[in-house]
This record gives sequence, structure tokens and C-alpha cells, in this order.
Amino acid sequence: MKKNKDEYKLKLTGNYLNQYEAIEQYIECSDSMYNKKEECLEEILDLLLTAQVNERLPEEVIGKDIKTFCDNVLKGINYHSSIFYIAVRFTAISFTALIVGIIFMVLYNVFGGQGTVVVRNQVSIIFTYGIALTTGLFDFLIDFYFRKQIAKNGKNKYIKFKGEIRLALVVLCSMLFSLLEETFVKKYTTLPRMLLIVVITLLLVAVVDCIERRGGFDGLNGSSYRKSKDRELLKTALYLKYEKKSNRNIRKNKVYSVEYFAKKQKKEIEIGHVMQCILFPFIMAEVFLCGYSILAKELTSGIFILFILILGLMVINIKLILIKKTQLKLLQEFCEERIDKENRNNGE
Amino acid sequence: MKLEESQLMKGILEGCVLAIIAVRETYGYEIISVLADYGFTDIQDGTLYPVLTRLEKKELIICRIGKSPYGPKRKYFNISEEGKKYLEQFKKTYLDITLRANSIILGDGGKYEKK
Repeated sequence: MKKNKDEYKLKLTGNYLNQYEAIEQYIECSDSMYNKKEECLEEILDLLLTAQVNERLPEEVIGKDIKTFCDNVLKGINYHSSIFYIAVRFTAISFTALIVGIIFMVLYNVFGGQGTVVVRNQVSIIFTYGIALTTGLFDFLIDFYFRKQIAKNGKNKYIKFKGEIRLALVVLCSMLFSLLEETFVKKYTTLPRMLLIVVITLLLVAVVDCIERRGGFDGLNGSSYRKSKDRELLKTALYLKYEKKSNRNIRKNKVYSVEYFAKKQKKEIEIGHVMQCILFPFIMAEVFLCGYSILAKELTSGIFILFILILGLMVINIKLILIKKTQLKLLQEFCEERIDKENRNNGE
Repeated sequence: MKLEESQLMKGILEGCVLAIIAVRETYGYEIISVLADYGFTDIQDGTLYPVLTRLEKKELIICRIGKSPYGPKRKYFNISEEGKKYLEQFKKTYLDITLRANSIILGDGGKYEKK
């Protein structure tokens, strides 16, 4: 998808390309979901390409102020409230902290170091959440700085170093926090506590997402763009599956009706949902518990994590439960269309 | 005060965009072009985007992804049944309000007598 977009981007020339790249950088530095950003960037690319072909100035279609343009676009694509995006950012950061913690713990276990950051199977709470908070803060500040720069001067050539700048600052901070460890009272956290924070954040994200999708906050129910995309995909998949199964049965000289296909498909949807809603979280949690037991050798807290994880993943899977209705409706539509088509063919 | 920022414009723009979409299936660039042809040169895609999203959220328009002759893909907009009803209602309300407002703002607004 990215390659495709970049190929089209090369068709833009001069000011059209400069404006597009500035918009691309500004949107990439803003809070939104990745797929939404990609979706709107593709649309803006098409808009500028159309303007270029029709010899209309970029200012005529996007205006003179990039910041106003991008803020309006973001207002349009962000279906969720800002709390949702903050929660997503915090989840990502918590995971980073968790991974950093695990790396330190593994290194300690492997090399048996006597550092202040790790003591036996425990990681310092000041260190872990110090990194998480500073990463979050730097992430926010770097994005804010680049957005300001782009709004003022247009395309920024230093934005490609954004990741490296953030990494350098985080490394510096982690060094600072390990030094601070010696001055402050040492408090240590085990993996379950760190995981609990991540799971609670995940739960919050999932709950907010579900409520918003069900029309709770702003009376929204997802964009019709997304709905049409999902529907298209699901319907195409149904057609392909039916064709495949029907051809296989024809080869075997067996009769394969649409009704039979629908019945089988319905059963598959039901089983699939049971799998997604119950078995999948269990399998995930079991795998996680195994990993945890190897690392920490503490089963009691492991069972607690298992329970929290199941709960968290089940909440996330509400999304999948909501799709079930659409899937069944699509199946019915597919059957009706198919029967109509077959009746027409028989009539001819 | 910029034209697109005014509260007055916000409501009217929604009606204008819906009326353009009601004629036939259309896309962002075409809507901007039609608006510019009618003198709304200040309306750009950034202004249009939230309007289209609002209409989409209210389920007044239906959006589908189609092929574009120039870019990677294009969003096409169609009016929904709900949108058609809303547009009819909007037209009536708009005419009624402008008629009354015109008579005050442009007409005898300054000629009223104190009771």
C-alpha cells in the first residue's frame, strides 16, 4: 500500500509535491489511527494529482494555510475522542517500558549483573515508569515541535531523524534514571504489576472503542467508508468461497445448492465467534502464562494475570461479536442475490 | 472573520454539499470545483472534509471507494434515502428563514416603530 502511494507521489511536481509532503509530515506527527491517516493521505494525493492535471493551483484546493487544512482534515477523520488517542499512545509507551524492563531482566539473569536497576527478578519501578513517562513526554513534544515547524516553514528536512532523536533522548533519560536510583529509595516492581497497568490501559481503550462504535459518545456507528470496505471484502470472500466449493462439487458430480452453502456458512460464523471470543483469549493467556512462568517462576500471580488477560481480550472481542450481525446479514443478501441470478439463468 | 469559519456558513455549506451530491455520484475535487463555480472560492478540501464526515455520520450520504484516473483511489459520495428527505426539509427551512431574515436585514429592518 505504502509503495503504491509513493509511486503515485512521484507523479506530483514542484509546489504540488512540496505541499503534499508538508501535509504528509504534519499528519504523521498528529494523533490519529494509522489506517485513518493512510486513508486520508491517499485521498489528498488524489486531490492534488487531479488539481495538477486540471492546472489548478494547490492553494485553490487545499488553501494557503497547511495547519488549518490538516487540522480540519484530522477533525474529519478522528471518530474517537482525544482520550482514546491518549490511551492508545499510553498503551504503546507502556509496552515499550515493559519490553525495556524484560530486556534488563533477561540481561541480568543471563549475565548475573549487580546493577541498581535490576535486583533478582525485579525491575526498579522508578526506572520502568520513568522511561515510560519520559518517552511519552518526548513523543508528544517532538511531534508538537515538528507540527509547529511545518505550519511555519512547510516541509521539514529534519523530520526523518525524528525516531533517532527520540531514541537518543530516551537512552539519555534511562541513564539519568539509573543514576537517580542510587539517591532515591529503591522500589522494585515485578512483571505482574507492569502487566496489570498495560492490561488496564488496554481494557480502557477497548471499552472506549466499543462504546464509541456502538454509538455511545457522539451517536456514531463507524464511517460508511469503513463499513462499505468491510462489506465489500466480506461479500467478495463469500462469492469466492461459494465458487470454489461449487466447482469442487460439480467436478465430483454432486449437487451444491446456495441454501446448503448458507447453512454451512452460518455454522462456520457461529463456531468462528466462539473461537474468537472464548478460545483465542484462553490460548493467548496460556502462552503468556508459560512465558511468564519461565521468566519469573511465580505461578500464583500468573493465574491472576491469566484472569485479567482473558477479561481484557474478551472485551476487545466485543468488536468481533458486533461484526457477527453484519456477517449474517451479508450471508442472507448473498443468498438472495445468488438465487436471483440462478433463477435468471434458468429462465434464459 | 473568514467565510468558512462563520456559523452561518457552516449550516449552509452542509445543505449546498448535500444538494451537489443529490444531483449525481461525485467526489471531493468535483464538489470543490462546483462550489468554486458558484463563487465559493474560499472552500477547500480541508473545509469540505469535516462537512462530508458530518453528513456521513448522520447517514445522509453513502461513501464508497472507487478507482481514480490519477491517484491511488478515490472516495465517491452518493445521497442516501435519509439524505433526500433531509434535503427536502432543509430546502423548506432555508427558504422560510432567508425570506424572514431578508425582510429584516435587507428590507424594513430599520423601519420598525417602537411599540
